[in-house]
Amino acid sequence: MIVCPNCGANLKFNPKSQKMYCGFCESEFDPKQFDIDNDAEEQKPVSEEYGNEEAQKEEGLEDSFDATVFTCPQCGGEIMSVDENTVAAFCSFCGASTILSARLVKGKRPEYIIPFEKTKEDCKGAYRKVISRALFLPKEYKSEEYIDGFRGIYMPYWAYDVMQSGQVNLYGERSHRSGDYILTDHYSLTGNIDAQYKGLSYDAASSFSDVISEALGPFDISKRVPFETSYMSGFYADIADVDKGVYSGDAAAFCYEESLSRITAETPEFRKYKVKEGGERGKSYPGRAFSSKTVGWHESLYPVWFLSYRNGDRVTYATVNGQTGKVVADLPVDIKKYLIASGVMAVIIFVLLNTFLVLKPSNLLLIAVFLTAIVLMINLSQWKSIGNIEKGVGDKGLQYINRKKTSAKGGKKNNNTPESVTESDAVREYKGTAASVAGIISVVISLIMIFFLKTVSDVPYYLLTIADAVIFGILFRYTLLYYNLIATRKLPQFNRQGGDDRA
Amino acid sequence: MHRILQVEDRIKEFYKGIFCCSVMMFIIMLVVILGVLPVSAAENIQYTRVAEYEDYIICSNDINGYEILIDDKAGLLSDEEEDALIQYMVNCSENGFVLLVTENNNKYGSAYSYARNYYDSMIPEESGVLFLIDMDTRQLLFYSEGDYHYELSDSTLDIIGDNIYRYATDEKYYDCAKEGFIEISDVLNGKRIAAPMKYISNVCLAILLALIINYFFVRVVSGKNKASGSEILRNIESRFKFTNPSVRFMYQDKTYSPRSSGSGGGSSGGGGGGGSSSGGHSF
Repeated sequence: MIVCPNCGANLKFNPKSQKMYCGFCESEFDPKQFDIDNDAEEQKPVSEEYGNEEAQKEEGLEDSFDATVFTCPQCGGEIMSVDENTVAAFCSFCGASTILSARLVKGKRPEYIIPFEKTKEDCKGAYRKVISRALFLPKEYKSEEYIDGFRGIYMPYWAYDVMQSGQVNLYGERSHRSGDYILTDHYSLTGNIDAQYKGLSYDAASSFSDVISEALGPFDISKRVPFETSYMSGFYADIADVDKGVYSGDAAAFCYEESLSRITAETPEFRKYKVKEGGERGKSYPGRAFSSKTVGWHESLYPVWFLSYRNGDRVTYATVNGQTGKVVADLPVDIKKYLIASGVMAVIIFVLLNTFLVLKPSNLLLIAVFLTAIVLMINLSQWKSIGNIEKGVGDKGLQYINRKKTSAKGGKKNNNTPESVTESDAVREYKGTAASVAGIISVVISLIMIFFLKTVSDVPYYLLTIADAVIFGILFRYTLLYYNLIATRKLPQFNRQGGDDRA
Repeated sequence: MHRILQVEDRIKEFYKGIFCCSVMMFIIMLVVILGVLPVSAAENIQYTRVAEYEDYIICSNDINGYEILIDDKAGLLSDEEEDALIQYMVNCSENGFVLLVTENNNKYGSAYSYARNYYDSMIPEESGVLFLIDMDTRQLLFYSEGDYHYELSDSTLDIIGDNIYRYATDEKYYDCAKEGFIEISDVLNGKRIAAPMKYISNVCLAILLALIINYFFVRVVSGKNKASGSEILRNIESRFKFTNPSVRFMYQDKTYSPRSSGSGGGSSGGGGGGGSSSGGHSF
C-alpha cells in the first residue's frame, strides 16, 4: 500500500492528473517518488536499446514486487493488486459475484507501464455511447448498476522490437498485350533496407482474448513509462502467462508486410511493377525477401477498463482502452426486442413495396429462395465461427496455454477445455443441421419449380414460398441463437496455480 | 436441464414474436385490402355496331367515336358472348380504343410481340388497350399504349392477369375476358382492383427483408475490427529507409490470349411518345 506522506491515508493513482491522489487530505504527488518494492538505488534504468533476456537479467529487471493475488473460486481466474486492504467481490473473467480468495505473492516486475488516462467516468461515457447504437442489446447491459462494475485492470502485453536491415530481393513483373499474346517482363528488384519497429504489442494473458486485444489497440507506446508499482494503486493487473515467443512471428510478419508495402509505394523506380517476393523464375519465397528479426521483448502493462456480465453458463465482456477510450464489447441480442424492431421495419418496408412492386409468383419464390439461401450461408459461417472460437483458433495465447496444459497432463485432453460438448450443444447442432438440410431441399425444389416445371397455376409457387418462409423462420431462429453464442463466451476455466509463477 | 429450459424459453419467445409480427402485418394488410376493394361497376355507355364479319366485330363509342374491336381468330367465343362482351369493352373506351384478340397460330413466337404488332397495325400511335388470349403460347396478355399506358401500368396489368387467369385455365374464355375488361374499366374509373396476392407477397417479403436487414445492422454495430496497419504504425516508434533501389531485367514470357471477338456495347433507342405497358399471365 502506498501511503500519503502528509496524513498516512491510502494514495491512489489519478488518471486525470496523472498523479497520486490522497482522497483524505486531497494532496497530490508524483508517482515516481513512490516504489514500495524497489528503492531508488535498486531500481535500474530501463534500457532504451534492444535487449534480450540475459541483458535484462544483467540489468536487474528480473526484480519482483509484492502483490496480492485474488483467485476466483469458480473459474480460477486471477488478478493482482498492490493495495493490501482491497477486497475483490467479483470475478472479472467469469462474472461470479463472490469474495475472491487473496494471498500475497511476489509478482514479476514488467519493464513498462502505460498509466490509465481515462477515468472510470470517461470509460462509462464511452461505453454508453457504444451501447446507444446497439438497439437490440438486453436491458441488463444498459443498467447503471451493471455499468458501474467497470474495473480498471492493467493487462500484460509483450511489446516487440523488430529490425530489418541488409539487402532486399524482390521480384517484379509488368505485362502488356501484343496481338493475341500477353507478354510479361520479369525483373529482379533489389535495394537496401534499414527499418526498425519498436513496441509492437500483443497481449500476454491467456485470459484476455486476442480478438478483444487486437480490436482494443493500439496503445500509444510513446506514453509508456518504466514500471512503478504506484501506477497500479487503485487498479488491478492481470497476470502474464503467455510466453514471449508466441507472438514474435506475428510481429515480424507485420513488419514485413509494412515494409513491403512502403517499398512498393514509396520507391519511384518500383512503382510501375507488380512487386512480389522472391527473385528467381516465377518462384516466390514468402518472408525470405528480407529478414525481419525480433531483437527485443518488453513485458508491459497496458490500461483496460474491464466489465463482465454472467448469464447462466455464458459470460460477456466489455472493455474500454484506458488510454484512448476505444470500446470493444460483446453485444448479444435480445430476441424479443429484435422481433419487435423487425416487425416495425417490416411495416415500413411493406408500405414502400406497395407503392411500386407487384411480384409474379415465380419471382416471389425466387426472392424467398434467395433470402433462405442467404440465411443458410450465414448459419454455415456462424457454425464455422463457433467451432473456431470453441477450439481457440485465432487466439494464440489460449492455444499456447491449452497446449501447455495438455502436455502437463501427459497428452490427455483436459475436460475443462472449451472443446467439450454438452448435451444441449449436440441437440442444438442436430436441430440446426436438420433445419439446414430442410432449407437446402426447399431451395432445390423451388429452383426446379421456377426453372423447369413452370406450372401455369400460381398455387404451387405460393405454397413453396410459404414453405420457404417457414424454413427461413426456423433457420433464422438459429441465426439469432448462434449469433448470441458468438457474442457471448463459455465460462472460462483457468486452473491457474501459484499466481505469477514466473516471479 | 436449466440450459435446455432456457433454450426452450427462447424458442417460445421467438415463435411468439414471429406470431405477433405476422398478426400485426395481417391486420394491416386486411385494412389496406378492405380499403381498396372495388365498389361498383361503371354505368353503361351507348355504342353503334360499325362492321361485322365471321369472327370480327367493330363497334364505335357513341360519345367519343373510339372503336371497339373483337377479333376471335381462335374461335373461343360464341356470337352471344361476343355481343355481351362489347358492352364491357365499350365501358373501357372513354379515352381510347379497346381490342380483344384471340389467336391460335402466333407467328411472332411471343404473346407480347404479337400484341404489339397487332396493335400497331390496327391503331398506330393511338391510345388504347388490347387484350390477347394466345392459345398458341398459352398466354393472356394486356397491352396498352398512349394515355392508357399511364393508367394501366405493367404491374396493374399483371394484377388483372393474376385475377383472371383461372377462367382461361378452366376454358371459360368469356368470363375471363369479361372480368378482365371489368377490372380495366374499374382502374380507368379511378377505382382500385383487388390484389390480395400482391399484399400477401409484399407482407411475406417485408418480414423476410426486415429480419435480414436488422441482422446485418447488428453485425455492423457489434463488429470487433482489428486496428489497421497504419493505425498501429502511428502508435509505435518506427523508422524506415530504403536505399539503392535497382531494377534488372531477367526474362520475358508469352501467354496466348486471343482477343474477345464480341462486339462493343451499344444502346437501344429509347421509345418516344407515351410508351406502352403490358402484363398478363400464362394459363
